[in-house]
Amino acid sequence: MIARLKKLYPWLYILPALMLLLVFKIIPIILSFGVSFFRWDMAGPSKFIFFSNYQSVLTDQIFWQSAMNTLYYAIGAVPLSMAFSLFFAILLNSISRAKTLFRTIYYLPVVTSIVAVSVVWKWVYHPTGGLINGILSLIGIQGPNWLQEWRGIGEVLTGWELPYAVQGPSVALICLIILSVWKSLGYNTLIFLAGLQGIPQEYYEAAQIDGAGVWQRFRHITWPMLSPTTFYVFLMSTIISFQVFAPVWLMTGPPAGGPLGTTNVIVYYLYEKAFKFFHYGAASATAFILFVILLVLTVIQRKYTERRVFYG
Amino acid sequence: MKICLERFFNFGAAVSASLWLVFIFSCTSPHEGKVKITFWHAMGGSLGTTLDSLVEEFNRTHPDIYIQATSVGNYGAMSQKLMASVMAQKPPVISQVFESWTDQFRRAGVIVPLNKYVHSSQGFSPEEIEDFFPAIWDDNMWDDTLWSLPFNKSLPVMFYNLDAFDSLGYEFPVYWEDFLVICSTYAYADPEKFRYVMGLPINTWMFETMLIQLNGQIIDPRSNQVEFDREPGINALNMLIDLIEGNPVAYLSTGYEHQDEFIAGRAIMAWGSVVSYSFMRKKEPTFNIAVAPLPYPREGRPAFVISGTNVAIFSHSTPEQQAAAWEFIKWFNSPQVQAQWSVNTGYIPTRRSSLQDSALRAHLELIPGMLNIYLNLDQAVSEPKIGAWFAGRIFLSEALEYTLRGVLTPQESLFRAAQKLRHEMRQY
Repeated sequence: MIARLKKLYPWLYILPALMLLLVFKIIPIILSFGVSFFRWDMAGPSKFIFFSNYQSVLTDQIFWQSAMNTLYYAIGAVPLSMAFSLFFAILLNSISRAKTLFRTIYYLPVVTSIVAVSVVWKWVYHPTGGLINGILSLIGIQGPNWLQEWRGIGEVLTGWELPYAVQGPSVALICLIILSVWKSLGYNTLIFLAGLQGIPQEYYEAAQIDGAGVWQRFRHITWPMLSPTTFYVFLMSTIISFQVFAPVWLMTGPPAGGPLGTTNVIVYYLYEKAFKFFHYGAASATAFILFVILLVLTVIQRKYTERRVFYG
Repeated sequence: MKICLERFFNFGAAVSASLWLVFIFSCTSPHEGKVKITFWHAMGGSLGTTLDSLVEEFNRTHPDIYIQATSVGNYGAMSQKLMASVMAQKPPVISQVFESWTDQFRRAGVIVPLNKYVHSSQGFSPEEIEDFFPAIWDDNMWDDTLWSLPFNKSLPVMFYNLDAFDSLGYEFPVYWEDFLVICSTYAYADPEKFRYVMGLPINTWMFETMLIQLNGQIIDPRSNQVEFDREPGINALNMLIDLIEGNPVAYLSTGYEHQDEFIAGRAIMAWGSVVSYSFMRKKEPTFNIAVAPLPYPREGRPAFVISGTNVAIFSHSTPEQQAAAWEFIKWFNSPQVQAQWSVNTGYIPTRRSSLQDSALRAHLELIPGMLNIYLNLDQAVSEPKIGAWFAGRIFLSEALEYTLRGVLTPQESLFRAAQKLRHEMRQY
């Protein structure tokens, strides 16, 4: 009897967390999957319409524009954030004094509310009173209206009038990418730092005796030994950047997602569908389309990138 | 030691018992026996304070009814809460609603038609209905059925720097053509002080007003056809382009930046909702602000589009609650209460007779130009009241942005927006 009860113990321990997960995550996810098959407005469901919501989202030009912007965002934010985090992690790992102080400083943006951060960065990018244009004006350059510049980076840099498809992300979107790199830096640095500290010191000593330089040590010891961490950071950063919403909503526009929809991302598209158009069905469908996109991406990442991961 | 502990426990028991008593007493509602009406609104700051004091007055003068007014944040949060509460079958008894929401709610049978109240002895007499400004009353009617009563209404106006105008001996122009001439005079008269005459935010409200002034329509209410992509719409958009192209008198701004520039004395005028006046005053500008109707083209007519919400009664309530709710919204729309509401918030009154109120008159005379605005409220036109209009406004806003940023011509952008709205309307 007691033995049987004891078998129940683990379940009892995980029950509270499981209940919370069920009530606030799993059940709502299942319900919203159901919603995606209905015409559903402010007054609730009115008709079962099979895959019409999926069809309307996938044939909506704005959806594809937002998907493209999201892709630009991820392509910009993920590698930049990873490169900077790794750089700072290596620096932090090599200093012997005031390590905690620097770690705290780098981690501060992560724990700061995104709302506060967005307000500050909105000021940084402000065309007349902002920090960047203030500095630029000191050297006689009149900076652009960063968050309202809808032209693609390709066009701005070359000065040529390029077709929309090859213009690249708008200057406004790049401003958001920079913010995101800054914001996520601390978190990724901390993960990399943990990874670095797990690499046995003997490897470095042995390499040094063999006459390996700084680059060789990084290339042949740090990089392969760190690959599980790098893979984890890559996977998580990709997922997180595909779900970007808050900076778009707080910093761009009005209307948010502007100028000319060049900062509209998939999750903002979803938000707009639900809470501006009151098409809750189409919004739910968008959520599941995003889920499928992320699932496919993760599978591809696991299949092709994980091969290069060295688990020791 | 033992006695000491015992005393300690006795004392603890006494304290906890008294706390329980306090708790139980505080749970007993002082409003028992009254018909309780929950009222969701999105009035924050001083607007909320004014609403609360009016609700308090109603509760005091109507001992059988208790209105519990709850601020649910902004309109966005309100729409989400209403949707969720309707699904959970626990909506408030009454709430602020936009026409577009009313249309969705009435189709789903979630709100109650008000005809049985309006034509009863507790309702309005034909003279009283006539007393409402036509656009404000019609905003609540779908065919012959009344689904809501007006709550807070505002209109777009032009605020201008009275001192700057006086110094050159100009009066604010009535016609658009004169307005452009005066704007270009100002733009180059004192370029050191005023970079531009005004900031031009991308906003559908001003465009809609200009469209109506040019005898156009947003949507034909009879045929339900989208009309804003016809000639008057294209002309109205061209008028906006005139402001920012060539020798620009306006610059493209975002959000409330154009009003901030005006208050800071860097722009001579700013376009905005009439309600903005009190917010501008609070920032203590160093010059006198005057207000004028939006100028209209010579071949057009003076008109403006009103915006704002109404109040509807949800059908999950009891008949007693519905009757009491009607009494409240009817009281809220009485000429005296409307005058009081208007003085304290800047929203326009719903009834003509409110303009006879001496306190409102005295208040309006303090603001240069304001009385003139109020005396012309009969020129008001309301926005389309179809479920798809919230989406329509977004499409229209996109069209304005694509044109004002020089990407699409007015014809292209308005046609695209109209096509999108037509597609949206087919879903209702």
